[in-house]
Amino acid sequence: MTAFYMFRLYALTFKGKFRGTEEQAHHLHESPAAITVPLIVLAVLAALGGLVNIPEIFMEGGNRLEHFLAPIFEPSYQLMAHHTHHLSHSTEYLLMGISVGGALIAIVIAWNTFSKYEKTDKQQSGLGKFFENKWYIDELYDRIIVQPVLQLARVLNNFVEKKIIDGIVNGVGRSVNYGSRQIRLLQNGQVSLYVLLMVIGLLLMFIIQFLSK
Amino acid sequence: MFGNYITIPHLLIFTPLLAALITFFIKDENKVKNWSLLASLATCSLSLLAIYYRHNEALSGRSFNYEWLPFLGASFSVSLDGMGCMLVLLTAISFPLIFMATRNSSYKNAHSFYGLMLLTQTGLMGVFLATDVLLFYFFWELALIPVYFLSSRWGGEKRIQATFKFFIYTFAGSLLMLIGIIYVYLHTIPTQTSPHSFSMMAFHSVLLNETQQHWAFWLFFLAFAIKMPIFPFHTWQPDAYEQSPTAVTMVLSGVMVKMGLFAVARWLLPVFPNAVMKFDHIIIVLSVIGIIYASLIAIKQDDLKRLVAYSSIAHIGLMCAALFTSNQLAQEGVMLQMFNHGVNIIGLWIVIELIERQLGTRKISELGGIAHRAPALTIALVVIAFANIALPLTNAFVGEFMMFGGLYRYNIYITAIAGLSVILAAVYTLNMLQKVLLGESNALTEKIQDIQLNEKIVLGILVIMILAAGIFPQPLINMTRETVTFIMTRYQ
Repeated sequence: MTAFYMFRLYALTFKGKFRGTEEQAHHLHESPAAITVPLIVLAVLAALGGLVNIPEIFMEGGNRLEHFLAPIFEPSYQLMAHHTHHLSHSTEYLLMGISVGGALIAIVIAWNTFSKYEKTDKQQSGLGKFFENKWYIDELYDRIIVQPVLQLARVLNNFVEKKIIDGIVNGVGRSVNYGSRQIRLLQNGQVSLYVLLMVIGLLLMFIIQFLSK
Repeated sequence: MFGNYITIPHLLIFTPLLAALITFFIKDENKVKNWSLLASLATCSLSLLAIYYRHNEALSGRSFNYEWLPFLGASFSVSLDGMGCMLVLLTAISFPLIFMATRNSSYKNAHSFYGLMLLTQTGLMGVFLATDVLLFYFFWELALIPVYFLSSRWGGEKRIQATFKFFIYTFAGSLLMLIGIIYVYLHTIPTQTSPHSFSMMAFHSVLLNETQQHWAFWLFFLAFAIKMPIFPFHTWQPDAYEQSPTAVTMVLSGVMVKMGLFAVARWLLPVFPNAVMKFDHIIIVLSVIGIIYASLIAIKQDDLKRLVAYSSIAHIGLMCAALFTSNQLAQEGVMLQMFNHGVNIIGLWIVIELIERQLGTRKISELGGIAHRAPALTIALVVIAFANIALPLTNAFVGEFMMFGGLYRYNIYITAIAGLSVILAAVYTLNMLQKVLLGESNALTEKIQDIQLNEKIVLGILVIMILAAGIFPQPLINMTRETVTFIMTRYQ
């Protein structure tokens, strides 16, 4: 699979017709040395790096890296002691053969499919669409985390904060204002009303005195 | 004379006071700006002296008190302890930074504006230095009054409404505290001159039974909860931050909200240990609700000032929760974070002020593409914003880590919920960064120019402070450890 997608990448980028605009085609040029030199170094290391550790079946003592990290894994070796098993040489050849063969087939398919690739508007369908959308993981996150959080934030901001909490705070202020506006009406300057209220008050006091005895 | 009658704490209070009184009589705007900057720098260097001499008996003011109202048992006693030192330092550093950053903003009647600012500084210093409850209350209100005038005269469009709400709300809280103070005062043991005493010692040794403690606790706590603010007492804050002139917003959020946290650590935790042990669950749960609640609301804000206001409520909520865990690590984290939060939020306000002064808007939806035009401003905003999220290497990381560590020992589930706030902080802060700095510039943001030298200096100092406290916070932790250790002795 790695062989397939890497050769698809190579074929699409460097082979076939240029698919960008005229403007972009004009700007194409080789990268400066600052980019190419490190690339060359990395390429050489990538190509030759495998030689550091040659499997034992090809060269006696070639597996120099096999025990290089052994000290780090010492505790896990001890834990895994019961589960380790060694592969016979024939199985090892078989595994190598299958994987190299599989990779070669994948390369041929990728090369044939994509080196003459023309851009089309054809929509992918079925499994292709599913993979094109990365298993819909982003959509899943969006649906079950992002949207609910934003929704909750909207409700808290527009309703809970502004209507309930601030409503109570401002309501206390408003009701004090309202109350004093109403009580103000009692002070209307008419002596007869004052006398009436005074008499009512006196009567109430007498009644309270009388009842509390 | 020095060290006998006048000590460093006295100087820290009287220098800004004197400077403020002189400022009112200077007419020329430029002279006012220079004078107030000079005065605030003088106070700043005094605060450095204060830290240097904080263990000196004579100079730190521990050795004697002026009598103030002897028949009441109130004295003008001020002194420096670890937490006081750190907040004095924060107050002293923030004012010159604010004055320098807003130098290019012009205020009508500059002499009153700067005079009132320095008066506010006097009040703040007093709050952090007082060791007498009545004196503490006096400065607590003194810090509030100039802010009322500053916001209602130089604020935004809806300034009268917002300032009125802010003043009445916090004042109502303060009155509850005053009732609490009088109640506790009446239960203190007699002194030589009066039947009761307002001194810190008297309050620490006051004898209240459990029910009495519970009532007094809530009276004090409500005042501090409104000031911090703790959910659901927070609605004055976004309005006040939005409508105040940005220089005042910096004072409000950078230093003044620390008064609430400071007061909890100084006057609540050591005085009412029984009540704290009983009600700590309620307060921690409220704080954690507030953290998530405010973070979620911050995601939906379009106004930069309101976004920072809600972000601040979330951060303060975490500090309050950690303060009530009765855990040494968490409380040391709170001390550290009080300082760092002040630095970070002042940085954010300065950037917002610079953007608004040039472009006339604070709406995130109208901004974009500033990074191309103003690289220095962009770098500063990115560092400060990262500190706001509490990324490693920034100052807030250490404090938040300690607070979460302490909270974890209190309750794992609450820590997990509170921990979500770190993710939410990244959501709203990075979203803001993207929309303001990156993307295509529009007709409005085309015009922005990069910041000037004085603004570069201020933001540079803040960025250095953020990184320094993020890499080596130990001196700040050592400074406040004595206070935390003292609080912890009340819980054994």
